[in-house]
Formats: sequence, C-alpha cells, structure tokens
Amino acid sequence: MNVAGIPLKNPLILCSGVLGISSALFARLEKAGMGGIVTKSISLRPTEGYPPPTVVPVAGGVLNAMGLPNPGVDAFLEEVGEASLSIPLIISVFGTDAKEVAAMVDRVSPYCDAVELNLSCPHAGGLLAIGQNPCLVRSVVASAARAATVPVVAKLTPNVTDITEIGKAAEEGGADAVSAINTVRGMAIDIHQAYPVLSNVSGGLSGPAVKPIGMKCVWDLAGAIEIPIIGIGGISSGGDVVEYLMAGASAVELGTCLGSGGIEQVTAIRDGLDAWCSARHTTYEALSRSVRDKF
Amino acid sequence: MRDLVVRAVVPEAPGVVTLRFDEDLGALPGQFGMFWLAGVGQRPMSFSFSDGITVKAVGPVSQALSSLGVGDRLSVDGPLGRPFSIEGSSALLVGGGFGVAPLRFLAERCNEEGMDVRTLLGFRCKDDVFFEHELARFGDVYVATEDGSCGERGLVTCLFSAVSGTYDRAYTCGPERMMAAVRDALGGAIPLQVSLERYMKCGRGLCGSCEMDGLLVCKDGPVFDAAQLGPSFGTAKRDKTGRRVPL
Ligand SMILES: Cc1cc2nc3c(=O)[nH]c(=O)nc-3n(C[C@H](O)[C@H](O)[C@H](O)COP(=O)(O)OP(=O)(O)OC[C@H]3O[C@@H](n4cnc5c(N)ncnc54)[C@H](O)[C@@H]3O)c2cc1C
Ligand SMILES: Cc1cc2nc3c(=O)[nH]c(=O)nc-3n(C[C@H](O)[C@H](O)[C@H](O)COP(=O)(O)O)c2cc1C
Ligand code: FES
Repeated sequence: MNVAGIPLKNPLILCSGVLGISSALFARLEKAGMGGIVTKSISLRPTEGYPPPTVVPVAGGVLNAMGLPNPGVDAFLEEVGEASLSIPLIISVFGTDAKEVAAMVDRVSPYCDAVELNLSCPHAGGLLAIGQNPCLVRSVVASAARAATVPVVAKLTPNVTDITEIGKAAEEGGADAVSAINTVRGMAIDIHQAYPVLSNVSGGLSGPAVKPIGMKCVWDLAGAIEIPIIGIGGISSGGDVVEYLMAGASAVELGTCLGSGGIEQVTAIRDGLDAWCSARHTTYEALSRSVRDKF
Repeated sequence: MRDLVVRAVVPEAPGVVTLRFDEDLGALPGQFGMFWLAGVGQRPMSFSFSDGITVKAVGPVSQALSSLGVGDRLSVDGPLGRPFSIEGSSALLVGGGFGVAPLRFLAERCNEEGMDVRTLLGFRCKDDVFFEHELARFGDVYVATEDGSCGERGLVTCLFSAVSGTYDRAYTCGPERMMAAVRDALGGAIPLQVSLERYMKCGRGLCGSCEMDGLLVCKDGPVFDAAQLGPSFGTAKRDKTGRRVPL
C-alpha cells in the first residue's frame, strides 16, 4: 500500500520513541509483522534525557517523560546504516526552530523513506511547543518540506484547543501527511512518598486510555484536510486498527502496546486486522474513511 | 508502583546491605524491580529474597537505598522480567561481586525443589565476601578471591576444577566479562543461564535503552540462555543517549 508516497507493507507502523533506537530491533519488528518503522526522535546533538523514573504505569496506560534521549544524528545514522530492512524507515526528527528542523531533515533524507517531524518540542525561547502554534507549524513544516527529498509527515500534539487548525497549517506548509496523536499531557503524585512520580514532574499519557482522544482527533482532521492521516493512540488489537481506519486514518502507529504485550503483539494485531479484512471481503484502503464518509 | 516499607536492614559486607520489606512481592529468582526513592532516583535491583533486595552502594541511588532504616518508605515497579528457569536435579551456581544477590534467592528455590546445589563465588578480597554462609544453607559453597585473602586465590573460574562433575543446569550472575568467561569455561557442556545488567530507563520494554542485539534485557531477560546471546554479550552496551559503546 502507498500512503503519501511511503510504500508501506501494511498499515502498522512503529511509533516514534518506542524501541526505535536499534537496527537489530527494527529487523525484529519487521519480522513480527510491522509494515513500517518510525525511529526515536533524533536531534542534532546527543541528549541523555531525564533520569528515571521516566515511565510509570497508570490506569489505562503509561505516563512518560523521557526527555527525548537520542544519540544525536551522526551516531544514529551509523546505527541506521547497519539496518537492512524491506519495510520503509521513517526518521523522526526534532529541533527548536525552523532552521534546525530543516537542517535535520536535509541531513537524514538520504537515509530514509520519509521523515516525521516531532512538533511537540518546545520552541526556542518559548514555553509552548511548536505544535501548539499554527503559524510556527506552517513555517517549520514549510522549511522541512523545502529541505526534504522524501515525504514529510507532521506529527501533531493533541494538547491544543482545535487540532484541525494545526492540521490545516501543516497541510498549507506542504506536509505530505499528518500523524496524530502524540501523548496527552498528564502527571501523577505518589501519595505513599508524597512526591510526583516522574522525575520531570509531568509528562505524557499513552496507551488504551488515550484511544478515544486519538480517534476524535483523526475524525476531526479527516473532515478538515485532504492529505493522508496516520492514526496513533492506544491501539492494542486488530479491531482498534479497523476503528482508526474507519475514522479516516490511512495507516496507524503502535507504541505502548509493545510494552504491555511484547513485540509479539504486532503479529497478533496484524493477524487480527487481516482476519477482519478477509471476513468482510475488504482491503486496508477500502476500510479507510469508510465510516467517516457517511457523515 | 507498589508501596513498600522497610521491615529490616541487614548489613552483609562493607557497603552492602539487604533490605527486607513489609510485603512479599511474589517475585521469582532472577526477576527485578524498578526501585524508586522520591527525590533521589530509580534503579533496577534484583530480588535476593521474595521480599528483599541486596544493594551495593556505588552511586547516588544505591547509596540512598543503602542508608534506609526500618520504617522508611520507598516504591517499586515490579516484579519485572524473565526469571531463571529452575529445572533438573542438580545445579551449579557461579556468582561474582553483587551478582551473588539474586543467586541466593535462586539457591533457596532450587533447594526447595530438592535439587543438589553447588555454588562458586568470586570476590575481589575478603572484605567483599557476602552470602557465603547464607548460601551454605542450600548446598556446598566454594569461594575465590583475587588477592587470595579468602578461599582460593584467583578468579571464580579457577574453582571449576574443584567441582568437576555433571550438572543438569548452570546459572551465573556477576560482572559480564566473568559471565562470558564462565560460558567459555563450560563450553556448552551444561545448559547455562546468565543474568544481565544494562542501563534501564523504563523496565517495561518501551524505551529500548537496555537493548542488546535485538533483545531487551528488561523484557526478554534479564535472564537469558547463554546460547540466545549475540556478539554484544561481554563487549557492548548502550549509554544514556542510546549510543552503542564498549562495555
Ligand atoms: C537487572 C538489574 C539488576 C540489578 N540488581 C542489582 C542488585 O541486586 N544490587 C545492586 O546493588 N545493584 C543492582 N543493579 C545495579 C543498579 O541498578 C545500579 O546500576 C547501581 O546501584 C548504581 O546506581 P547508582 O545510582 O547508585 O549509581 P550511578 O550513578 O548510576 O553509578 C555510579 C557509578 O558506579 C558504576 N556502577 C554501576 N553499577 C555498579 C556496580 N554494580 N558495581 C560497581 N560499580 C557500578 C557506574 O558505572 C557509575 O560509574 C542491577 C541492575 C540491573 C540492570
Ligand atoms: C516511552 C515513550 C516514548 C516516546 N517518545 C516519543 C518521541 O521520541 N517522539 C515522538 O514523536 N513521540 C514519542 N512518544 C509518543 C508515541 O510516539 C505515541 O504518539 C503515543 O505514545 C501514543 O501512542 P500509543 O498509545 O500507541 O503509545 C513516546 C511514547 C512513549 C510511551
Ligand atoms: S529499560 Fe526500557 S526497554 Fe528495557
């Protein structure tokens, strides 16, 4: 299947930040049935991230504040060089302004089949994330699109009043697709020790609890933009994938379910999705928007 | 996260203490927990008892854990990870340094299963030796120290000749190069399980920081069959940024 020029083997893509650090893991995920891979979000320079606790289980999922740890673009491209994949590799990048993001995109384009822009990173000098401001999104995506020689996916944060405004800005900036959602802001206090659990105090929620939020974002985006949408958030079964496709997604990304179910969960999700499609005599492409278009 | 209160503190050797908790966590030998002290940090620690851990003070988190007293609170995410598989009727346990901690728990369970247990321990010097008497409750114990101040002089592998014979299973935990030497010394004659350590940020198979050759130490391990391991065993790890560096 082809989504925004990305030749996916099936609609299941590894989401950014989960396991996407090692070429050996990419190979293992492909073998388990993944249709594409998004890497950890990579920056110009290496970043250690926050000290543990960085991931804590909560009802319905996990809270995380990793602090975007990554080995930096040079070391990471060495790692990518060791991968021999037959599924598309999408490199996630972040930076604090349009210039830095464009430099990253320029650097990684020759090594991948697409780039995903993680727009949930704070803007240089500002408190808000780039992805919370439509003007910034438009200009960052536009510089990235100019620098890119591969399709550009803009990854949207749900921590905004109206995600369609941001989706439109990404489309106007020249994104080939959008992916949604990144994690939902959240925090937890441990009452036994009377202290916030995450070392960064607050972080982002993912897992089954965010699925209805991701669904609503995809549904709304599907009514507002023309470019393909990659649905993310709380998927853990083939049925969840069907639901996102029906809402308007062309493909999906998987994350937290790999922690709870292990890498084998990918195989179960792919088999569940394929069984559903063959029982209903339908295809991934035909499923996409099948319910959205009724409205 | 589970709430814990320290029920007992047992000094084992200079800088090494066992903490026993108010609750049995139902852990199995080889499993670990992500132990968290508010305002200090969180680190993986193997269970040395079903309700306890044994900590060596080497840095900020282990030092803070080591100075806890009875009644102090902490939290844990766990038990996590794949335990040792306890099989057969005789077992050879090989431990070095604080890797001896999980072996105590393993020896106890092997003994409860009626297995014949023999344990080889390697330390730097006499002062570092711990769990020697504890382990002797479950079977014969042989000790080696690098400076010869206790038991045989040399690395733990020098004790192999003393315990020649056949065993159904061998288990090892300790410094990784020691474990690699144990694997080489056994030469595949006995099925060997090794318990590995890597920098862990999540302990839940999500972040990838503990990855080695496509395996996740927190989720696929920390206990592995020696035959499962790739070239990174004894040679490479990932640093806090996720970059692969020499061990
Ligand atoms: C699965 C697993 C099980 C573990 N089980 C135990 C256990 O049962 N008991 C225990 O004490 N620790 C155990 N550890 C190690 C523990 O998680 C920490 O790495 C260690 O306590 C150091 O943390 P720190 O914050 O005190 O020091 P850090 O600041 O993280 O480290 C301080 C310095 O000590 C070095 N260092 C780290 N670990 C050791 C060590 N064990 N011996 C000597 N130097 C070291 C580091 O490289 C660093 O230079 C385990 C680790 C893993 C992954
Ligand atoms: C541990 C962890 C790390 C993450 N790191 C990143 C990251 O580096 N970049 C990014 O764009 N999203 C990151 N995310 C967000 C995920 O890509 C995804 O958008 C979110 O988790 C929702 O999907 P899920 O419910 O299937 O996990 C991370 C999520 C988790 C749980
Ligand atoms: S510690 Fe995060 S995947 Fe193992």
